[in-house]
This record gives sequence, C-alpha cells and structure tokens, in this order.
Amino acid sequence: MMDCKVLVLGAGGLGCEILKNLVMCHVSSIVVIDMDTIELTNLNRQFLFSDKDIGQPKATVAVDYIRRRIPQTSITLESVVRDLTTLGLEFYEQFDFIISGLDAIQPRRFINEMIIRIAETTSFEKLIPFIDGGTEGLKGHVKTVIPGITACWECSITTLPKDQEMLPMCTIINNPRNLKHVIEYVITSVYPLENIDWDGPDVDNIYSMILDACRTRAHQYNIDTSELNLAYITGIIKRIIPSVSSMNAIIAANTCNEFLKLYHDLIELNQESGEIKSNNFTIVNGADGIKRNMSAFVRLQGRSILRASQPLLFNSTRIISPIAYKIGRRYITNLETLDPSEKLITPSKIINKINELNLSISDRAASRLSQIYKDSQEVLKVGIESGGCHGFQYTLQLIPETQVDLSTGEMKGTTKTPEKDEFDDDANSKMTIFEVNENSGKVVIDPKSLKILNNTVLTYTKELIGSSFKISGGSLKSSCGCGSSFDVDVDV
Amino acid sequence: MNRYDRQLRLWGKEGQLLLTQSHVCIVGPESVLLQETIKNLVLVGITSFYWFNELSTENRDSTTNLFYDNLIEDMRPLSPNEISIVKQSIHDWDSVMRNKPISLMLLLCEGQDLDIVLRQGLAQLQFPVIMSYSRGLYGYVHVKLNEPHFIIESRPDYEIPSFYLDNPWSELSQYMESIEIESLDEYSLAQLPYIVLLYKVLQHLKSMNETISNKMIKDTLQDWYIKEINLKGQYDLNFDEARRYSHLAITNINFLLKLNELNEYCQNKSLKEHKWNDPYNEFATTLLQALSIYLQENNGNNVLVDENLPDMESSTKHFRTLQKIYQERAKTSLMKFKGAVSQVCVSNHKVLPDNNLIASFYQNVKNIRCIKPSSCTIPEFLSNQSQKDYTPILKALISLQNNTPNPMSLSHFNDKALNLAENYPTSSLLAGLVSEEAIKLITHQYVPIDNTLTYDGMNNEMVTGTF
Repeated sequence: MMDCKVLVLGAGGLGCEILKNLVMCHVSSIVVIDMDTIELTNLNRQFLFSDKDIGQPKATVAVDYIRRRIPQTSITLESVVRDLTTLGLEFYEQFDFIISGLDAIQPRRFINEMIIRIAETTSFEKLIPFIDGGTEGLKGHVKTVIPGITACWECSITTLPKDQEMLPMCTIINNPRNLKHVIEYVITSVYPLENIDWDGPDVDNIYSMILDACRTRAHQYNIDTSELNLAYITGIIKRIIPSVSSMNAIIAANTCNEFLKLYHDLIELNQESGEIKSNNFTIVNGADGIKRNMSAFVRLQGRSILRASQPLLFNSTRIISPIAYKIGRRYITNLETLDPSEKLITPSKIINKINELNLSISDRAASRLSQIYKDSQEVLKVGIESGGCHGFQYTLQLIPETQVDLSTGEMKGTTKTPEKDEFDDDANSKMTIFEVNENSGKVVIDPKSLKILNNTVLTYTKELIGSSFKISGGSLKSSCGCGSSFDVDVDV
Repeated sequence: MNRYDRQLRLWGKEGQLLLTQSHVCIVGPESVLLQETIKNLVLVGITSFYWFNELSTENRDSTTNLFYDNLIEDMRPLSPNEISIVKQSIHDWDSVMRNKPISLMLLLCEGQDLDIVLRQGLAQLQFPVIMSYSRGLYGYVHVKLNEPHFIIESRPDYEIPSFYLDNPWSELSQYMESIEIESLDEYSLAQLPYIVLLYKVLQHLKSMNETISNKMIKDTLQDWYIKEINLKGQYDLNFDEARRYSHLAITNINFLLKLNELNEYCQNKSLKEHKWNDPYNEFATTLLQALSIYLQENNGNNVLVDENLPDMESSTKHFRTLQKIYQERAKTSLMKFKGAVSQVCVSNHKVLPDNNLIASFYQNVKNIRCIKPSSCTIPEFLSNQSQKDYTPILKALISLQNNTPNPMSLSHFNDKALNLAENYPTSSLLAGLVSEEAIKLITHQYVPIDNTLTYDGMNNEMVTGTF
C-alpha cells in the first residue's frame, strides 16, 4: 500500500487511465473530481464507462466502476462532481499529490496558483507536486511542477499551441476563402457564440441554424461546401480535440510514473541549483514528427522548461521538431544567474528614443544579435506580459526585421484596405529600436515594457545546458521559485 | 454523433474500416501488458482476436496484479459490436497461422513461454510482429516487418505546397499574364495572392539568364516590386507572405527522386516475385509503378498538381479563380494517372486498386512513405551475438526477458527503479505504445517506429534504434 492522498483532476480519457493506474499501485486514498457527464463520443477511450452510463456524472461512475471491480479493496475512494475552480485552499491542502488529466487551460492555472499559495502560506513546508498530462490526437505532454523547485505551470504557458490561428478581420468579413472563414463569420457576426444559451431547449436547433447560415454564405462566395456538415461545424465550434485510447494510456502512465518517482524519492535534485535532474517536461509525438531514422517515433524534450527552450532557440540546426520549435520561439528569462560585471555597448542608433528610459546591451548580447541578424535578418523583440505567479513575465522573441517599420517604429499587421484604421486596434505600437551597429542586430521594445525594464541590462550567457539572452538589474525583483515571473518596484 | 468521432478525426472512415476488419493474433499468458493492450485495441474498434494464452506449464505468479478478472467478459461493454477473443492452444499454431486471416501478431511473453514460441518458428510469418517487454520503470517495443510496409497517408504536420510557378501549364500562365500589375493601384495590388507576386518576380528575373536563387527572388521583391511597382506595398500581408514563402517560387521536386528509388526497390527481382501478405502494400507497389509510367508519358513535372491550394491572403475572387485552375489541372492529371494504373494492372495481371486509393495516392504523392523490413529475425534480435549496437537498457531488458539476466548488464540500472513493485503504469505505457503501433500498421496511416523503441522511465527517455 502506498500511503498518500492523491487528487485526480478529470475523469476523462486520461482521468480513467490515471485512476486505474493509481488503484493498481494501491494508493491508499484517491479523490476524483470532474463536473462533466458521460457522452457517446467519450466511449472510444474512457473505458470505465459504457453505453448505459451516458448522461451520468463521470466522477461518480468511474469510482463506482472501480468499487465493483475491486470490491474488497481497502483503498479510500471518493468522487467530487464539481467545478474545481469553486474549491479553495482548505480543499486542496489535504492532498499529497495532484495529477491532472484536464483538457482546458484555465483550471490548470487555477491549480497552479493553489499549490503556490499553499507553498507560500506554509513557508514552503507543504509542497504539493502537480503532475499535468494532456493529449491531442497522437501527441501528448507531461509536466511536473513542484512549487518552489521547478518552473511553475504558468512559466510554461507559452509552450501551449495557440487556440487557433488568428485570422485578420478583413478576411472573415470581406475575403472569405474557405469554410473556416465562413464559419468564423457566422459564429461571430450572425449567431455570436457568447449569446447562445447552451443549456436551453433550442440548442440542437442552433447547430442547424448555424449550418444553414454557413451554407448560404459559402454559396454567396462560391466556396465548396462538400465537407460542410454538422460534425464539421461542431468540431470547429467546440474546438474538438481528436483522442485515441493508445495515446491516453501512454500519457496517463507517464504521469503516474512521475508520481511514483517522487513518492519513492527516485528524483535527484541538483545540489547547486536545486533544479530536478531528470526531465520534467515531456512531449510525445506518435505521428512521426521527427525526421531522423534514429528516433522515428517519439521525441521527449526534457528538463525544466526554463532550460529546455533556450538551446533549442539558438542551436545551429534551428528546427528540431515542430513542437520543439514552437517551444523555442518564445521563452522566459531567468533573473538569477547573471554576471553584472559585463561590458556594455553604445548602440549606433536608437529609434524613438524615450527620454530617461534606457535598456543597456552587453557586449556578448550585441555580438550574438549581430550574428543572428547576419544569419536570418531577425531581430529580438522584448516584451512584458502580465501573467506568471507574480504578475509579470518576459517574452523574448526573434522576429523577421521586416515586421517592423524601421523609420516609424510601427509593427506591421493588417492588409491595406481603405478602412485600415478600423482594424488597427493597437494604437500604442510605436516601438523603440536599439540598433547594435549600423545595419546589424536590433532590439525592439514597446514603451510600456521599456518603462518596466528601465536601467536593466540585456546580456547573453553561456551555460552548460545552453545559451540564452537574459535581462537583469533595474527595478526587477524576482520572487517566484522559478524566477520567470517577477514583481517590480515601480508603479506601472 | 459517432462513437468513434474523436478518432475518425485522426484516420477517417477508411482507417476505421481497416481496424474493424482486422484480426489480431496475441501470443502470451494473461499479463498487465496483454490485458491493457487488448483493452486499447477493443476501444478503437477491433473485434477479432486469436489468443495463444497457454504456452508452457511454467509456474505463474498467482499474485499477479491484474485489473480484469475475466478479460473476455470484461471487454464486451467496451464495444458496440460482438467481440471475439478465441483462445488457442499452442498445438493449433500451424493451423491458425496457415488458415486464419491474421493482420498482425503481438508477441507478449518471456522466459519459457518465449522459448516455446520461438521453437514453433516465426520465420514463415508474412504479417508484422510487435514484441514488447517491461520491467520496473523500463520497457521496449520491437516491430518486425516481414514485407515492406507502405503508408500513403503519412499525415505530416507540415506540408510544403508545390505551385509550379517556374513551370506553369497554359491555363496558369494565361491567368498570371492577365494580371497587369504595372497598372493596378495599391489597394488592388494588396489583394493579389502572393503566388502572383512570386510569378511576376520569376518573369522579371527570366531575362537575367542565370540560375535563380532564393536570395535573388527576395531581393527582386524588394528592389523591383516595392521600388518600382508598389511603393506602399512594404506592409501588405501578401508581400509579407511572398517574402516568407519566396522559396516556393521554385518547385522542389526532390520527392520524385525518392519515389523513383522506391519504385526501383519494389521492381527488383526478389520483391517482384514476392507473394504479398497485405493487399494494401501490393497496391502501393502497383501505384508506384504506374506513377513512373505516367511521368514518362507526360513530360514535365507539373502533372502532379495538388487540388488543394493552401489559403493565402487574397480577395475571394482571385483566390477562387486560382483555386479552380489548380483543381481543374489536378482533375485531368488524376484521370490520366488512373489510365496509367489500369494499364499497369492489365499488363501485369494485377488487381486494380480502389478508386479512392488511387486518388489518395495522387493527393499524397509527396508524403508516401515505406518502412523496409530489417533482415534481423526475432530470434536474432533476442540472441546475444547481435547485441553490439544495443543500448545498455535494451540489452538488459532482453536478458531479463530471456530469463538469463547478466549482473554486468544490470549494473547500468537504478536498482530501485528496476525492481519497483509498482510496475503497472509502465506496463500500461508499453501497452499504449504496442496498440499505437498496431493501429498505425493496420490503418497504413502515420509512420510506425523503425524498429525498436526503448523506454527509460527514470530519465523520461524514449529512444528509437534500427536493428
């Protein structure tokens, strides 16, 4: 018997697998929480349910199934049918581990916040590991978060795929070219989704009304409708994610192994940095994402997200796999390991200089920027986003120089149409541009971020694991265990 | 809504049909790995299993930690269809192998059981065999193919489109020439698809009489299009796309070389006389042969046009017109290709592939993949002589599976991780990998491993090697 209390988030494809695995590992106390009811399309993978359970709450049916299958068990099992974001600290602090098989982002952020608050209020005496699994078709991921020790979930939020590609409004309104554009128009302008009563009696009717409206608009623009049917629009409206039993089994088992290693103390910590040594962020791609023969099936990208992303971005072979590439495009800086004694350069030119605001660039950062510029004509865009467990986090992103107008400092974005201004919602987009040398690397930063980053130093460090740009100094004050989000001393 | 909706979105009706029609042979005593694998396969819609469950009289651990008490009964609620799991005795081996329409075999056993299976001989098997073993936080999956495995719908994450702007057919060039960019205003220019800009750049560069490089195209976009044609075009999205996709101005036809090689491989003597086990693989070789004839008869590389023009910034009207031009070209080319397929089938006395398969081959011509069988047999894979290239973990796992553990090879492991009592999740993980490979092999969609994957749960690593 493994003596601990584990909370399983979600009783779906991953949840059923996680629950079964924990029971088979004889975990002494397990609580499953899920607010959903069982649907027909769950049954291709959620093996604790069958046709007769359709309409019943998932958590209850899952626990009942286990009790029926193993009647004599001494495991304490409990089901909670509730929105997990309505529960507070006093609920979550009773657990030793939280394993998640959720399909939405918001509740994960909520849990992340809970475990960090529990860690802080107990002066880091109660650390609840949060092991997060997710799947999409033949791909999946596992992240292990230990508050105060690893990067927190919020830190890796930039690794998430974008919800959908942002389509310019003028495409949707004036130039629809395919069914996606048509549906997007119908669900934003004709039947706005946010106005639909999803629990009302007419909900089935709504889908056919949307379908009709799509058909009419597609005909109007001469767009082929042979693929247009109820399943197609439901897929887009509900953002349905494909799912299969095999990948759910792989990812769920992976989360349970992470739990086992923590429980049995099989994870080593790096004595100096306190980072955990084994990989704690894993991506599995079963669709042949990797082109090399040696690893034709799966690529696991390991390590804390903080570290993993950096070498990927600046390796000479830039694109390692599509997923790794996505991770590499944006990453977060670590405030701690900086060398303050580095030489600074004087930029050859500062476009849109703002009086009394300055960002210094170190010698090493400057030469790296020049190299990148020479290789790919890309410049470094620095930004601050709200988010992270302490309010702010950096984003550093390489963008093609062509995305910035070097004479005005404006970012480009919309198709030129006579009504251009209508679509230009970012009025405050004049960037300050630091040019390292003439016709060479550049740092592009918006005024708001520059205000926060005033008097900081952009540097480039080489470490064992990889090299990366970093920012230090100024009014920054790191306060999150992982260092990627931070407080500032000034009012913004 | 369909019960299988979430997976139909991955492999479509064709893939699902192949799954429901398949027959899976499972070899091994009831174990976590075996139960979990069958569960995953029943869930995706496979209904027919032949199960060699009693092999040796080896004493089994009666405390084995199984989830299902009565596997066959417990599988029934997981499928809307009748499930047939037929237990077979090892004495029936030859008759099952000879008379049953088996799609693939899952070899999930160790020790004495494994010896007995190896004595039955696996050499004459024509279908793929997936072998797996797990221990502690470690495990491996090995896929042994017995004929080349073809994938027409490999479903890559990204596809590079071919526009044939450097080699246009008459309808395409007529349309392109009908657009006089010199006389258009800035708003009309902003509405042009970027491939029109690239075409115009190619035309502009043609007079130069030298090989056109990507840099020349980029420079011309800036120095000619922006400086002479559209002074205000710098921030247009179509200009942005033209710069970003400038490399697509010159059509990359490297895939034809690979397909040609593949066809030559299929036409060599040993494969020509091969009696194909899986009709899908035989169809693929027929289609490859037809492709080579089709390309010879229809000179030029613009005869494999894709009917799906990727979305690009453009007015609806321009996009629709271009889309039609590509669709028409694709339609007539496909007709001609079908002609070539019939010709090959008639002259070689082969069965004509289904129309949908021919169309799918044409559409996926850039994504055709083939995994060639390794010459290493399963007994060779399991024997010590050939283990030079194996990772230490694979070596150790095989020695444990063979029941001949070698203290030296085990020294690489974390002791606690190797003997972890809670092996259930690892077995379940390996069962997930085995089922995923089975699904990929049966549907002929997505690319299977080539050919051995080792899982190291301690370090969260999965490593693939070819042996």
